[in-house]
Amino acid sequence: MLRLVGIGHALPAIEVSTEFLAGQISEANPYPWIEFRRTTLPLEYIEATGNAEPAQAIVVASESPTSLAVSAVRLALERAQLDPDEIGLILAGGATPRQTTPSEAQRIGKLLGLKVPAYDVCSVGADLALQISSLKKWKKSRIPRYVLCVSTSTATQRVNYRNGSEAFLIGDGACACILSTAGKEGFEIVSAQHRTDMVADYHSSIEIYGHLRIVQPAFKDWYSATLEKELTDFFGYEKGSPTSVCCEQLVAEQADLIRSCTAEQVQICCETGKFGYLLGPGGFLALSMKWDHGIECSSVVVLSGGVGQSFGTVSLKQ
Amino acid sequence: MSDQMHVLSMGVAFPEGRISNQLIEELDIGTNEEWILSKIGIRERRTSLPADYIKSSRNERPQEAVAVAQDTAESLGKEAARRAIEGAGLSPKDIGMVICNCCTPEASAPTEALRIAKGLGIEGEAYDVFTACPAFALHVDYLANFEAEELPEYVLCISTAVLTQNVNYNDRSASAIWGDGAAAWIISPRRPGRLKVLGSFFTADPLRCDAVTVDTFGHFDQDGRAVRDFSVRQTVRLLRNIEQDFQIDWHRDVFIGHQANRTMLAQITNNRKIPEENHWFNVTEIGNQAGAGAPATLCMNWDKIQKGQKIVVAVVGAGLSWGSIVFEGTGI
Repeated sequence: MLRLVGIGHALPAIEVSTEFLAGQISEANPYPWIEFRRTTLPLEYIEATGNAEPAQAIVVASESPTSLAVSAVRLALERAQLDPDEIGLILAGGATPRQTTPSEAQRIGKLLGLKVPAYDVCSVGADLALQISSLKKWKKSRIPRYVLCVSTSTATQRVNYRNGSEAFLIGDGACACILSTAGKEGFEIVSAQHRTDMVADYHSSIEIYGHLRIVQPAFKDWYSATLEKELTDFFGYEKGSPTSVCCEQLVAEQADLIRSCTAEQVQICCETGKFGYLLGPGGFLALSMKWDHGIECSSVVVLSGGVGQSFGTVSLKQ
Repeated sequence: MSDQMHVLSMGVAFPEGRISNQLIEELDIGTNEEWILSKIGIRERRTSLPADYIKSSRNERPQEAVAVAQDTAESLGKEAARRAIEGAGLSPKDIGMVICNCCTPEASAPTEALRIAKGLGIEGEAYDVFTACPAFALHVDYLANFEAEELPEYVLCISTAVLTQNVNYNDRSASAIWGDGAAAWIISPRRPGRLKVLGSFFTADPLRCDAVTVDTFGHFDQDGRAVRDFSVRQTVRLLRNIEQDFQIDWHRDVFIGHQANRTMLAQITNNRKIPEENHWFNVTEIGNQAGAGAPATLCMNWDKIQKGQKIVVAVVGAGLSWGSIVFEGTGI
């Protein structure tokens, strides 16, 4: 039985308001429910350059994907009451690496002082759901006692702050989950699934030397259709409705869509309005932010997906 | 059908462009063919870059390489994958899962796996599983983690890289090492194929991960001496363990190492007393193809595999990470 025994998140300190962005970008804002995003970029840099050259962002950024990831991991370890050297395997993902070699997992392992198997398992928009769904399918004998799963993104360092509407959507941050096959703490992973859509036309991309691009309304249409299908398929075979859904909000009608596929009274936990869309961590940010306050609901579904044409759903229960 | 993984087919793809030792000498960067052959043992490398571009720009700004390159990691990966799929007598629709390793992606989103899969008309799940050079061992070991019934009938694994696009051609060591290429293989957890997986292993030492780096907006860099020493030592250790655990007879069985440089491989084969005819390699003519090197070598020798013969793959590289696979020829 696989359990989530600890979760952590990290967000950079700099806040980008919609008001600030409206002063930079002439395009209309398709994401009016997002008031703030977090960024690793100084606001003066954004104002002065519009981040026209993403290579320059690295020089001025306050954090890297790796530093955010390690902060998230340390919180997860603290909550799980574990020392780093109890981790037996690191899986990581992230679409904005500072280095294409070594892997993000290996960079994280170095900063944690670990000498363990570490490699990237990545789908961009649903890294953590992918990693958890993979572990759920492994032979129990092959899973170390504690596995660290991480997704990290500094996608604002790839945003064009002069043209396009991506700036209104994107925020930076990282999430880390500690999975275990031992003990009774935390949440049981009831089920986890991950899907990639190779049929739809590309609606989003990050060129290795260029900017993040999201094509609207293709992205919105794809996300809405995928979310509805995912929820319908998922709850078609899951018994009962979750009491809570953790997710990121990428379309205006998302809450209605979720309630129509689950139950009217389902609690929706979402932090996108305050922190922006983080890509890989998905709904795990919302779960992490509730962790210390005690999660009252007995069953939670965490949704992730979007950029990268991937989608994941993880169902947990206490 | 027993639940045991088999490799059913493989495919490779290399760009047409070549970097000879003479071209490197002409760059006037403090090296010559004699030095290259004695230290690295590479005669030629494949490259996606035009020779004129290398000579004129030295690829000082890797961003410019993308515009002139004649191949990409994706195009090479797709070609290698297509050949592997055809070699197995399958169609893209038969592939249920694609995993890919690439240290030189043209885009970080969508993943390399998804872009290659989409380009081939594959509709199963696709995502990146990445560790750079030891990818062959990682992918097999990663799949070995799964309960067999959780894997689809056919899994496509790809390792592709165009590292010449991240070489600074003022750097005499890097210039001589790298080549471009892709390898792909079809694995089944249930269907029999020419190679049965007897065992696999992968691990890492992230504390030394800074020894080999490729900056996203920059060049390849490494602590050459430390990496070389690690590579030889770690490969020898892997082989010693494998020889014992799998009753390897080097007069019958075959060794394939990480295709980093020929001189290093010679140190390993001398240490383990592996006869030349049972050491398969391609680095001398292709260069170091990162994670594609070892599987490409195996693919290029596919028709030589004999029934009952063990093929030992021991690979090391960035991360620092390392791993191994022991295959047995089935005669299929």
